[in-house]
Amino acid sequence: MAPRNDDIWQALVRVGEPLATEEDYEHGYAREVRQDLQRYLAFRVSGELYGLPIAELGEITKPFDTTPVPRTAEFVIGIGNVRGRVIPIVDLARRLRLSVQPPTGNARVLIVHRAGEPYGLLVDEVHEVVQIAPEALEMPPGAIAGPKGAFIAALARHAGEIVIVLDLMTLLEPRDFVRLQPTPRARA
Amino acid sequence: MSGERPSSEFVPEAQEVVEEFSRRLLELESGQRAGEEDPEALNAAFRAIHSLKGLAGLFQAGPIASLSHALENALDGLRLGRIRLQPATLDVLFAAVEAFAALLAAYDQGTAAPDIGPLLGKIQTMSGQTAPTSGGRTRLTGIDESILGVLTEYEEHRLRENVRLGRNLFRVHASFDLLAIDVGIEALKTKLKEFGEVITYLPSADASTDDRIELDILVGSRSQLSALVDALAGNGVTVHPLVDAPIEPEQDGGRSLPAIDELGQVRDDALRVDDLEAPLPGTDVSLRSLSQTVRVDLARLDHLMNLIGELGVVHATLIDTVEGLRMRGTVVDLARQLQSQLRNMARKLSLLQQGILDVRMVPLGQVFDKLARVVRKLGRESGKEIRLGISGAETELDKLIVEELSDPLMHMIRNCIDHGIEPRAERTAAGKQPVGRIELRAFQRGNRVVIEVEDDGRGIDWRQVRDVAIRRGVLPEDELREMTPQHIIELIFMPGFTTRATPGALSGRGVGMDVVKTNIARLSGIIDVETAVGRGTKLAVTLPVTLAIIQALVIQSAGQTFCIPLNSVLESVMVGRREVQTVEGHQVISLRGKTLPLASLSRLFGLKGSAPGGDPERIYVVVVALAQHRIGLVVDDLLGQQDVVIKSLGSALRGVPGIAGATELGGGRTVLLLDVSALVEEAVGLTGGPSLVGTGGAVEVIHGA
Repeated sequence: MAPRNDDIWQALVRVGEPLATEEDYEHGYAREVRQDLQRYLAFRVSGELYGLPIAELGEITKPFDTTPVPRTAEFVIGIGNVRGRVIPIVDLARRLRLSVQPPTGNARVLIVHRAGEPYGLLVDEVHEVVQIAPEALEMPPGAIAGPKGAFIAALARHAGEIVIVLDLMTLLEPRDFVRLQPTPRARA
Repeated sequence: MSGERPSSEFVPEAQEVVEEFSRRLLELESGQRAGEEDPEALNAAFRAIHSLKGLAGLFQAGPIASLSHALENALDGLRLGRIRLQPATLDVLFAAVEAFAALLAAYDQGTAAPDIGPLLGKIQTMSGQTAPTSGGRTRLTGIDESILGVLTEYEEHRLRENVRLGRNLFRVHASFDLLAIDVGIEALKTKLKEFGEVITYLPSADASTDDRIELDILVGSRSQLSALVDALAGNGVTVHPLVDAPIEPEQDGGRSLPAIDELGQVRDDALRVDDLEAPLPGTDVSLRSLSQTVRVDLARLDHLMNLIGELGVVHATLIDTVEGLRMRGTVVDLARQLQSQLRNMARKLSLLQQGILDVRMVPLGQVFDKLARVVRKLGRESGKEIRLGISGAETELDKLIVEELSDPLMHMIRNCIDHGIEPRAERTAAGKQPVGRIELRAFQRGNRVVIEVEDDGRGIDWRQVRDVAIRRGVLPEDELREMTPQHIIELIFMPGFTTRATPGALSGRGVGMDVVKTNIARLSGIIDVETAVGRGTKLAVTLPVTLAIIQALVIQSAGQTFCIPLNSVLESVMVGRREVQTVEGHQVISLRGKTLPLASLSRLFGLKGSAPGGDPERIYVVVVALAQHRIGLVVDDLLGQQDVVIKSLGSALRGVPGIAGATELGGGRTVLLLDVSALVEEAVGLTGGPSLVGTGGAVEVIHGA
């Protein structure tokens, strides 16, 4: 898949326009547009396709300078400055325990909001905005158990591929950010 | 809530009014103790409740409106002397302050309003018991009927009060130019108030001319006629006694009239407040305001707007200059202009920054008023009589700090009352004043504010603290035996530490002082204890004036840049590597004859990467302190000092020990700000963090200044 023009996606994401898909063009605009379709941003991390609801997404930027923060978990790249706000940046591949790909020019940082606070998620490539009907969402199969399973909100099929919809609440659980300290002294 | 104004305005405004009301009650109470109630305080309390009633009506806050309506009636009765002010009355009024707090909290959160029925009942009982209107009242013999006839009920009551208090009554006759009457009256009023109470202004019986107005002013004063004449006479003012012979107050005045005494008895029972406080949950949980709104003096905002305007002009000039630079080739001159404009801009920007900071500053008095209420309440609950002295209430601090301070200060006051101030009998036996004193002081020292809470109670006995620490196994006994008294007293800040055998009603559950310390440390503050057995305890909290912008020392460690708040840095020194000694495996240096334990920042943070360049023979040591503990942070380089804006790290990274926040240093570089108190604690092993200084008392921690 050739990299899409980010600027167009970003503009569309920002104004909240319903995006016309290729199917729309095939069928013409006469086709009735369903109102309950949820829109997701699909992106790739370590070859797999992930998705997040557009509503949880603030913006998409190219990777920027970050400052490492000591005593944090391995997946915390550090902090970065987005329009005057200091936000933590998470390496999604490390967080999802996938193999880390060498950085390419397609890497992007998704600015997402969890509990009203912004976070940055580093992804390998932004794919496209997809519309998924509620009935097309499946609960994750029980086989994906363990901590990785907790990050998955649902699975969806789109154009023959599985999109893994992430759950930001567990993905960005604040408790996981701080690296455990060495054993404290017995007396304390 | 469909008012014309957003309902978010209601809670902060109502809170302010309630605070004003509570402040007036405290004034009234201290006046009552001194035997002379200040009618002004009563009037102001009445006005506050009156405006609260209006406000509550506007925002359809039903229970608040009905409570203020009932109170308004009661206060009016008090004002007019229909109800006598006594301790039980004040208790009901103070209970109303607590009730308002609970009602406002419920209104703000949209939860069910607490039941104020019992309180309303008490207030109505109070209002219903009017003093007898005739017979037994001070007779106003000898006063001209033409004067008595025109007095309002309130004025007549004040006149009687003045007679009852044995004051002399005067008629001050004054003549004013019609054009300058407001200035004239104001000046005269100010003078008269020095002598006593202005009861009323009456148009003079003498004919006023077209361009002059003549007034008779009734004044009650302890001074003699001659004193008033000396101070006021002349310039159209004459002073006369109101009556030929002083009116004799009734035996003991109205104070011991049997009818009122009986009523008072009845009232004392009817007005007991103990049962009132239970049904108002949450009133005592926190003193923090419900609102995040800051009400700002308009002059300050105007100042900001002006600065921004000036900035716009500078900016425009700058654009013109740059444009000129592009069009013509005379670069040197224009570059110089550009530079000077940029400097100008930088100057204005820093003023703007200061201006915005000023907007956030509020006087500490806001918290002190609440604390005065706490002292009163806790004093009564514990059966101890306590006087609270307040100074420096005008000292200003960042709104955020003031908010965060109220809970720690309340804990400190609780501790004073519960552990510090002795019961009356014990005080008398020790030869002290029977009434305990707590002093609450605030003052600015450099760019920090110091708040002191001092009691004249029994003090903290370090031996007792040590025995408790040994019994509870807080620290190994041999270690405790080697500690200095000051160090041992600081153990009261450890979690779960209490010298009480059983938890007291007020404090003594061992949750107080460590919470205090944690909260203060979160505000980059330091807390110190000074105590003398039998004489009292002083807790001093030192805080930065503002949290938003601080001065920082910029340092480098393992190739990474960090900021250290300058107010926790005592000094920074460069020492040769050969001066570093090792004591039981831990690095120390000797600084002016004292041993200073060292901690390497790169090791604390597990930083990898080498120091670029630098002198291998020398190291930089930043001496930082937390209360009495000092350590030397070893860093690779000192890059200088800078004013930095502190930014929060958000909830995900807030919990990282040793990091207080982030900031930007020009060029979009984001840099971490160190939490010095956490690092020092870690290094000296006061908390459960990784220890650097060893497992025993191997390294002597330096005490004192």
